[in-house]
Amino acid sequence: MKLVLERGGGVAGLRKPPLAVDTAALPVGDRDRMVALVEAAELATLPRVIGDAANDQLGYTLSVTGDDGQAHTIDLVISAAPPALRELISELRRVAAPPSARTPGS
Amino acid sequence: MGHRKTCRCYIIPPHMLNHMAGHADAQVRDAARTTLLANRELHTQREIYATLGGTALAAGPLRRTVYDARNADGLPGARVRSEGSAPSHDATANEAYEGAGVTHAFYEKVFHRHSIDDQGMRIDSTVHFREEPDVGFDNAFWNGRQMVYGDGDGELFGPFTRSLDVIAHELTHGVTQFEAALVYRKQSGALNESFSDVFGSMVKQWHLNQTIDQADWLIGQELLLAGVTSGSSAPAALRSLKAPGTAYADDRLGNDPQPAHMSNFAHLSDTRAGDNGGVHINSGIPNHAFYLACKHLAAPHAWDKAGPIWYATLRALHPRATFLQAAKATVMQADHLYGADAVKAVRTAWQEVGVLPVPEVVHVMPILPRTPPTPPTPPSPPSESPPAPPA
Repeated sequence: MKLVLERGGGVAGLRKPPLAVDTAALPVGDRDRMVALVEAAELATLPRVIGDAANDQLGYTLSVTGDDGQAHTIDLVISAAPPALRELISELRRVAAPPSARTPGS
Repeated sequence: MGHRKTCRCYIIPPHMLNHMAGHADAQVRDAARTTLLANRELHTQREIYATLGGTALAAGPLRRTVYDARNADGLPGARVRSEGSAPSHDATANEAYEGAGVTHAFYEKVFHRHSIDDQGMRIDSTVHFREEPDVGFDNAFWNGRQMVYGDGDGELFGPFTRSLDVIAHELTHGVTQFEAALVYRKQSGALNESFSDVFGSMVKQWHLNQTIDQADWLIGQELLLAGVTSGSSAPAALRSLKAPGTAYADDRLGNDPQPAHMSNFAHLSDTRAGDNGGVHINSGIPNHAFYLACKHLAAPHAWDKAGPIWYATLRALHPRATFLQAAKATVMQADHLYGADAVKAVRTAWQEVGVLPVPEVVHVMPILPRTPPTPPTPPSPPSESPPAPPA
């Protein structure tokens, strides 16, 4: 499973490199936790866009692609996200590295 | 883990809350507004406050409150300073309080505007906000109701209350919400951002009593920490109205991506990650138009002529206005307020950033000696084409 978190907006308007995670490259404990969090977030039941784009608020685009190729992309502001989705994003931030730091082929 | 259940218990019906929200008693009014805002199923915060604009209290005294989120994401947080109270021991809370006061005074004295909604709306700010408990928050925003400030990451950014122009930028988002209500995406969103930068810079210039030549025209210069480098001889900042695209050029931050001309308009995706179509990027174009208008209008201060023209435009635009429509509106307001010379100055500014077309130069042909015209050759009759059908 591959997860990518992109960030945009904010008063500074800075564009940071996206954070990416391939669960196949994670240690077993992290991988199991990430898979469990994705299941708990029930992405298929969530709307495509979560929360209004308030002025200067940071916005995120989360893309999750399963091993079966099924993909979900959600635009969100953190304050409007359900708790399970927030927990998934926190974990993703914790374990992710910018794509350039990943090993080739991962 | 699991979803929190949301209680949908609304004891007081919305129409009654709306009525209470316009009540003369401040406690009744504020309680009703808070309840309406908590009812997120009913409307968004911005919609509610826009609706309440007409029912809010008439112009009243300045009412500032600063809250402390204590490095968490709960809003508004714990109250740390109220209007008229002694300064807090927390410098960040005092910056938010004082900055809101200067911005309020600017709108009151220059435009006779009574607070954010022109109806004396209270000004609430929260400092020490974080989205994640362990990560410094590199941002400030207006959530439709109040201003929110992070403390920065401590490496590149300090507290976002450091810059008066950022405080005025956020408060101006509130003003825009009650005026043009510019939709926060694509060109109307970039105009929304630009009005915040324009008035943000103007508030700082007014506070320092700077002429347009003395002003730095930078946004957020004070909140960038030492070591961040710019793309010019000016100090590093988040944006430059004078020279968009040069505010920062730093190994860690990258280069300021703002264009100063329509030929460099950034076509970004209309997603959160795409900054809603580059609202913080393409704002460089109308930002620079304002700077050029100030130069061409040749008044000493930004708030002498350009400010009133832009303010009148903000009150006249429709929510989905484009750059071109905003440009035409400023030209119209320039004519209304100051006449032909101002029209020429403002029009020239928008032409220089490529939003208004530059009139084609008409070349006068030399007068040639008269010669009798050559009679046209009669067309040869069509040999194969069938005659045209009658009209």
